[in-house]
Amino acid sequence: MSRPTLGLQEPGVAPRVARFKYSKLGKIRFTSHRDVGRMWERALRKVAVAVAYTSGFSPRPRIAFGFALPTGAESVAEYVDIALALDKVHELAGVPDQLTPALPEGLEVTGGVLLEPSTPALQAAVASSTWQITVPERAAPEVPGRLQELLDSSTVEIEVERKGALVATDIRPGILAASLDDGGAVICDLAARGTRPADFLRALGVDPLEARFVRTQQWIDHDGRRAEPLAAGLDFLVLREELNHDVRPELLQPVAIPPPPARLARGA
Amino acid sequence: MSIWPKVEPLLGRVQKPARYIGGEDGMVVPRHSPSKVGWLLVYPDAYEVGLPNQGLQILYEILNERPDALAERAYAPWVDLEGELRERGLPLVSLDSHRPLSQFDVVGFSLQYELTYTNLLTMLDLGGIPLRSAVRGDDDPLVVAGGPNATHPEPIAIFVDVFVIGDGEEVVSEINVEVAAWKQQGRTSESREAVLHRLARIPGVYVPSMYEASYGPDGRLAAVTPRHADVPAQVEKRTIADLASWPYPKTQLVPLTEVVHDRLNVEIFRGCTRGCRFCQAGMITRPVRERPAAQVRQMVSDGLERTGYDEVSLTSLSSADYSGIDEVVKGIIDDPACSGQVGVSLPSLRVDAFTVGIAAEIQKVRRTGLTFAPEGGTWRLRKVISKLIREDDLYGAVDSAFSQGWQRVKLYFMIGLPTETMEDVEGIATLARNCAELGRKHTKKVSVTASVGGFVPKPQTPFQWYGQDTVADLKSKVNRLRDVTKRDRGVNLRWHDPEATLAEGIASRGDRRLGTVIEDVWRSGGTFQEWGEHFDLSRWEAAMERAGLSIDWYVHRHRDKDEVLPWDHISAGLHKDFLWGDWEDALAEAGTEDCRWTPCYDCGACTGYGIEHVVASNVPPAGGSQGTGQDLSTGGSVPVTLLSRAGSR
Repeated sequence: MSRPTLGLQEPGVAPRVARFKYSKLGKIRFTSHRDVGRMWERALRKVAVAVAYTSGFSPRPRIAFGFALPTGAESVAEYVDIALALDKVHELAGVPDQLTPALPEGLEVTGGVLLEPSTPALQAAVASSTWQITVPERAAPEVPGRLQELLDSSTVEIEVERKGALVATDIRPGILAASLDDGGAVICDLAARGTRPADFLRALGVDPLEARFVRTQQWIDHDGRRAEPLAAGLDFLVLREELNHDVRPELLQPVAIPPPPARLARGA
Repeated sequence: MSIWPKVEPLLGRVQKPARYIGGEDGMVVPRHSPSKVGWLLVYPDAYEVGLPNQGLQILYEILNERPDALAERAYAPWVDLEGELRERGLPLVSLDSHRPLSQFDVVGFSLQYELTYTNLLTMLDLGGIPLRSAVRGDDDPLVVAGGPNATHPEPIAIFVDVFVIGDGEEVVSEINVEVAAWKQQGRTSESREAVLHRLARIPGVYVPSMYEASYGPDGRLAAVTPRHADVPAQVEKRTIADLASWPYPKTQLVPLTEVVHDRLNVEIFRGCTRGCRFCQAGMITRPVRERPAAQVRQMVSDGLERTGYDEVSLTSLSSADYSGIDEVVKGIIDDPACSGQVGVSLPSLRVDAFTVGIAAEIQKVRRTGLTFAPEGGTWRLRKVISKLIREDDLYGAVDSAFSQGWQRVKLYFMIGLPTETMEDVEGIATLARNCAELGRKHTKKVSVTASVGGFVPKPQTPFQWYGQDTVADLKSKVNRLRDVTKRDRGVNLRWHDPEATLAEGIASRGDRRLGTVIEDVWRSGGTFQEWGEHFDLSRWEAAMERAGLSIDWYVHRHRDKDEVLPWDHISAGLHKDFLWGDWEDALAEAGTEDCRWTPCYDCGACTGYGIEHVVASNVPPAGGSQGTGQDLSTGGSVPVTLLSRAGSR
């Protein structure tokens, strides 16, 4: 069985990579990171996006996700990088709109950009995430005081699960910022490697099983500033326009990224 | 009403919560209404095992297409979720709209494997439905069950209101019409009895409460007789005459999480006439009904486009026997719409070089492993079981596989077959050793796995009279195999737990008295018995003892020709005298040829129903093993290549 390896046929030529942003809301939050990977593979085949495949004995589509969203958490800021076997990048403009209906209910593609060839992968580039954590009502009165206490401490040691074993770990360095929003939800920035949102909540004395987690942002470092991961590329729509005007893409400025929706859709 | 808000908070606490959310591509959003019969179709095992079941998906679609019906699904909640539900007093809910089981009119179980029977009880109990049919009231749904095990229903007859025997495509609608009328009348207890009586008159439907089981002074079953004159003394299975009329599933469910057989499945034919005597599936699904090749291709291309799968399995009991299988496979692989990215898999490979040729066609890249099922270790034993694979066929297939780049071959065998001796058991090791030897001509990394399962004699087959091997017998055979293979390089031995084989035997050929045993096993905590980590034979032994029933009598005893068997009042199409004649042929070490291409044996499956095989070609497939154009006199002879090698060692 042969698979197309467009974009890989010329040795040394890296395929162009598209980065898509999507949300994961509602019941589908109970699917795992691996499950979502399979959903993307099926959706890309349904839409017939020409994806580049790995070479070798067992070719796989070249799809790379960022840090796994924990099973059970929702997000409006998930990203996936897909290596393309397209030679006409302007065809990408309609792809986000085609992908949403091809994905299961609860996954929605909200943006897409074409990355510059040497853009670092999500796993390497994403430094932190912003979370909105809704705590159960009966725990809510305790939260502001405990949050202040936690922020005032220089170390916060709790037992966290690592590879099935409980390990005492200081999670304070991984807490970059934390506050309460008007609705009483905890808004926190957590380092991509270091502090998991459930561990953070446990440090606040709240059972993570009773909370609702929504990832609202992921952050990369872009030109020395904190930016969302789409900033590393060129918006498909802008790209098509500019290509039509025969402007060299590298001259284009990164597109402005709209802020996340103020109100997140509630689970079904 | 949906109770999702109550179930949702539990899902963070259980393993693999995606098993309980529904929302698959292909799911029909249910619209309940008083004018529709609500069916809950249940697979009594974990989601990842049950979701791919094609029978359940076919009925799901047929019912949801009807204006007077709707169907949802449920799978067995894993033990962690069961515990959470019980702790909070919550009922079992449907997958599609999270509605309690008690809100349906019909709860229909798919019965594929006897060790799932206790899960059926878990699900009824969690649903708030009395376990026993006799005490169910007007508020309770009708409990229906179908699938292969419905052809020997007595062990669970006290729990199930209605069994459906054979193909369900047509009869499910006939049942729906009766249940719809019952629902319109308001489901009273008198009307419950009346609807059961009416259902019992539908061909293919068996209502246990309409039959009386009586026992002789020696404790043997004397008869199972109808209580009413208009209820048939013997229930005949249903058979759809032509698979082409039923191109289902049309919108196969695409699960959101990992399941077994996670790919597009297209059934290319139903039924099998190879005549392997141990195989209940082959016996009860006769005759052979092929789906037209053009329809197969259409279902494949539509299915791949809709689902986004990159693999399709062409399913049947022996897919290499499909007329023109090579052209169908080539058609799929060369279809430009598939752009060369689609994998094809054929379950149940026949053992011959032709079949390996097809496998080579479809597995151009990932040639990892091939599986063959010789089932018996010697030609003599393979004649007994009518699995007519000559040594030549097997070695030809294996040599062909290794020469074309495969490095791992798996061989399925059974132990505990009728007339088996230690010589036959050791034959398994000899075959595996010779296959590894052949492989070393082609590759250094050869691996031959012999997978050995204990034989459970199944009702509605020629072996239904045979006394099953004891656990001790099976263990000694496994041990012998371990001894004789332990020095063999490249040969691995795997075996099925003989204790689970015994429990399967208890639940397979029992009469109505087994119901209390199964309930007892369940009450003592014996759920998910088909999962090794939950299985415990001592529960079964204790339950049999408490019921005053003998394992030896039910499982290990040879039956007489004249004995009344607990499934005699159910006909899967095969005449009892045909089965007995075939049993005598087995003992005489005479195999039978496939009746698709040879004269009719009058087993009853065609003649009894006025139907015929539907095959596109009436000549045996090229290179087909198993009694199609082979010289059977050479069955046990070992090829010269192997003899000289064996001699030189």
